[in-house]
Amino acid sequence: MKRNIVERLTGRLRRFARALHADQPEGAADDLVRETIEAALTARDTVERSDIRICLFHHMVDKARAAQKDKPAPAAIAAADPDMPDMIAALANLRFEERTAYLLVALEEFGYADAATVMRIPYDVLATRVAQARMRIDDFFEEASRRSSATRGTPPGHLRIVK
Amino acid sequence: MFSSKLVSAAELSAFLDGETDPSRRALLREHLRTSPADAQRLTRWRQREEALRTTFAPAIREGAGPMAPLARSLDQKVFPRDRRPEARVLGESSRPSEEPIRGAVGGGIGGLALIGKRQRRHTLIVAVAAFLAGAVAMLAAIALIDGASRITALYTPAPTSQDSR
Repeated sequence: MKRNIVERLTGRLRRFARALHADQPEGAADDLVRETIEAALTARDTVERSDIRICLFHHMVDKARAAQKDKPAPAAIAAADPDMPDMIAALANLRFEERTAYLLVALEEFGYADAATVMRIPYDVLATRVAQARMRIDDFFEEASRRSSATRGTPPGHLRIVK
Repeated sequence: MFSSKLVSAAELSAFLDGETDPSRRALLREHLRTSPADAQRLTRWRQREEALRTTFAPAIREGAGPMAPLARSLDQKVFPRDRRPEARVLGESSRPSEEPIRGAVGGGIGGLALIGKRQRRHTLIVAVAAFLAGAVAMLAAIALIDGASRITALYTPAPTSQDSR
């Protein structure tokens, strides 16, 4: 019998929350994780669900989606902002639905069918959003390298990996 | 240029995620051989996703952190069977010994197959407990008999050793 499945999943939830909240201040991600687990605790359907992972990520997407509707859309973040690791800046530049779809597939390695279930959207819509996110990230990095080559003296940072 | 019209970015994206329709897979592989631009794009996407996982790897290393108690309470709700007291008795440490026992009393357990899974688990626990109790009782009895005979053995030669002096 498997033990502490949720506890082991929580690291993944925290990772996803941080990536999802790329456009928000630190601390917001762990608040989202807490809200997610609390929502799963009070939800009636949690126990019946065979896949706790899908269930938890669904609660998280639900919470994040509701929260970002209350806020105005973030202004496009300037490429290669020195204060922001570039992958995070690229994520922050995506629309919420694109970012979510992309992260579920590229970071959390969900299959399209499961990711679509998590987001409660059709399979084809999910596939489109993932592709759109990839193209938008391409555009972001292209723009970033164009800017950094235009302003000489500042080091190009688009290939930096920040741990 | 012409081939990039046949294969859209969306299809390339799905190919990267292993979600391509099987009937298109061979065509896509062929397309990637003949279109270096798209092959490059695919490599770029793949590298970017590795960078993405590296960027957020610390969260995995940190694990549940301060959320651990909350996570455990959800574990308890979703998988309550793991938290029943008898499940704790048969916890991780006693698990390896479960196999030989199951083999030894295999015939008896086979007969339990018709009973529900939960009940079967209960019965197994009771059977194991009874077996262990019996074994302990027997060992105790052997030890007692053994001890008693050893005492008599000690008492009897004692005077003989004194006699021989």
